[in-house]
Amino acid sequence: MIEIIGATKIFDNGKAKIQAIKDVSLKINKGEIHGIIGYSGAGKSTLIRCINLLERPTQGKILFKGEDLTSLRERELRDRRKKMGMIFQHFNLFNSRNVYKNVAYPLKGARLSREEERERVLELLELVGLEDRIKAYPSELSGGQKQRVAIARALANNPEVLLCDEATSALDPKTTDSILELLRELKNKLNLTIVLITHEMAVIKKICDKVSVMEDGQIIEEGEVTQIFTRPIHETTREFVDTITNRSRIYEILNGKENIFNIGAGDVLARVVYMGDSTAEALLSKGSRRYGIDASILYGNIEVLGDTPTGEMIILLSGEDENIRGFIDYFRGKGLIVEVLDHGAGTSEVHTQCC
Amino acid sequence: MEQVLLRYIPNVVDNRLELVESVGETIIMVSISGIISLILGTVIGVLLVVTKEGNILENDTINGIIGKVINFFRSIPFIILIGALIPLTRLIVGSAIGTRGAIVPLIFGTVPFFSRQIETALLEVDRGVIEAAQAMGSGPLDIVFRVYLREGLPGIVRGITLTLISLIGLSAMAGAIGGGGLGDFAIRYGYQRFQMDITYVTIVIILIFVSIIQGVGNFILKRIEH
Repeated sequence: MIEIIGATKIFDNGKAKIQAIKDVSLKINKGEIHGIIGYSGAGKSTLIRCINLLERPTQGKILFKGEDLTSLRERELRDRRKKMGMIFQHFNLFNSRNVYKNVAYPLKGARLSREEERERVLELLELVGLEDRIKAYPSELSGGQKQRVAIARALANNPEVLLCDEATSALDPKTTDSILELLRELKNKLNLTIVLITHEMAVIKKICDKVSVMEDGQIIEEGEVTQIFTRPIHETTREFVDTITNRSRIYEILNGKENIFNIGAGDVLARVVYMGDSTAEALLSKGSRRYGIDASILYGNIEVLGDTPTGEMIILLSGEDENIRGFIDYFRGKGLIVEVLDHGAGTSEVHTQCC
Repeated sequence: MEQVLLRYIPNVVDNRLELVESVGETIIMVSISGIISLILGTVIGVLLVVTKEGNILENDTINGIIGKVINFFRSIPFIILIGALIPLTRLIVGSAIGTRGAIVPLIFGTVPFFSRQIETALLEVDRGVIEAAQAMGSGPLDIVFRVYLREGLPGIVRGITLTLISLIGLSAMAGAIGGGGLGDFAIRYGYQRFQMDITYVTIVIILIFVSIIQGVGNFILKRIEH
């Protein structure tokens, strides 16, 4: 649906040149919700603005349905923009217009009769659940309601893509959830492709299918959300994942010198990651029974990413070397990821074999 | 009643016909130069904003020229501007004196001021709203007419109020060099002949004008601000 090829954007204020994005390439498929996460100044805002050419990349191409937007004339570009709705952190509604007029704004070029326009506006407001506030002015609405109006307005011309620029960053957590819920619902109902940028991992976790992590103008890691959550590679990605789990805390403890978990000789400390179907099986009790070892959970966490539950555990296994090895193989055979973190004295064999 | 008036404002009563005529002249001067100035000022103010760096029709050259011309005219004291414009005034309206002759300098004195008012009003329009309009496929004309002039309307109304009030002040000054109107009236009788009652009555009338303009401005603001 959207393909960014080698996009670079340099801001030149006369004194200094700032490279906001550096040779970024990204492919966004039809019907997916693609999240772009990064800290402030990572270039994510510039990147999303390059998609509809609110910022024209200094170099590179932006393909929308196979067509290079950077090569279009102004007028043609404006036409394409109507097929890409956009919503913003601060909603950017017209304060001088009421809800109805805000939503009707982009319909001007659509050659609708007054009746058709009214029908369309009401239909859109119903879609976002605000049909009872058509006469209200933005100043009379809450943040969540304003964003709903903005969404209705962005969808007026039946776009295929919705660009969300920090759309929930100015909202409280509960409202954020309701807006995200609405976005997911609209995506399914209208077959939208959504690109959203955020600095909150919780947003990515809630609705994204894919995620790109940005840092310093580049995409440093990219993939399915489940994959990024369970196996973050880059340091920054780990930090983002940590923001919504207790993982970092447990590792801090593990890295501490004291042996607070009483890892005895022959014990193995392992991290287990599981996702999807395997979460339903009672693998831990089955495994420990089968191999006759003790398994205690030191830490556990289950996340629901989109519709996929994924979990992570840190377990302490004690028993015979051989049995522990068998247990680990059994888990791996079930499609789980097992990583041995530490082991008591005398179990170096397991350590070397497993990792 | 007549006794009271004769006692306190004898000169005004004596010259009442001329007073009425002066009021009419002031109204004509202010309306004509006001309407023309508001139109020209809006156009120039819009140009000034849209050609600014980073805006929808960014153009450093045009922006620089407009800015410098405005500053040039704003830095000339009005009373001097009137004199300096005499040849141009003659060329345009055929006379450099009287109500007609006052209109040209009034426009030159007001347009730069009002352009800056418009500029300020439009710059108050949130950049994000402009961006949203662009993202919805609006072109420059749409953005000027449907976004800038509409979203900036409260600021524009404030600017119009301020400009019309200052225009009344300028029109009185234009009167000093034979432009007619209340200023002329007050100077000829009140100042040159020490008929203080005429000066005071003129002040009261101008005060009423200003109050009406401010009142109307406030009323409109109340209705359009949300």
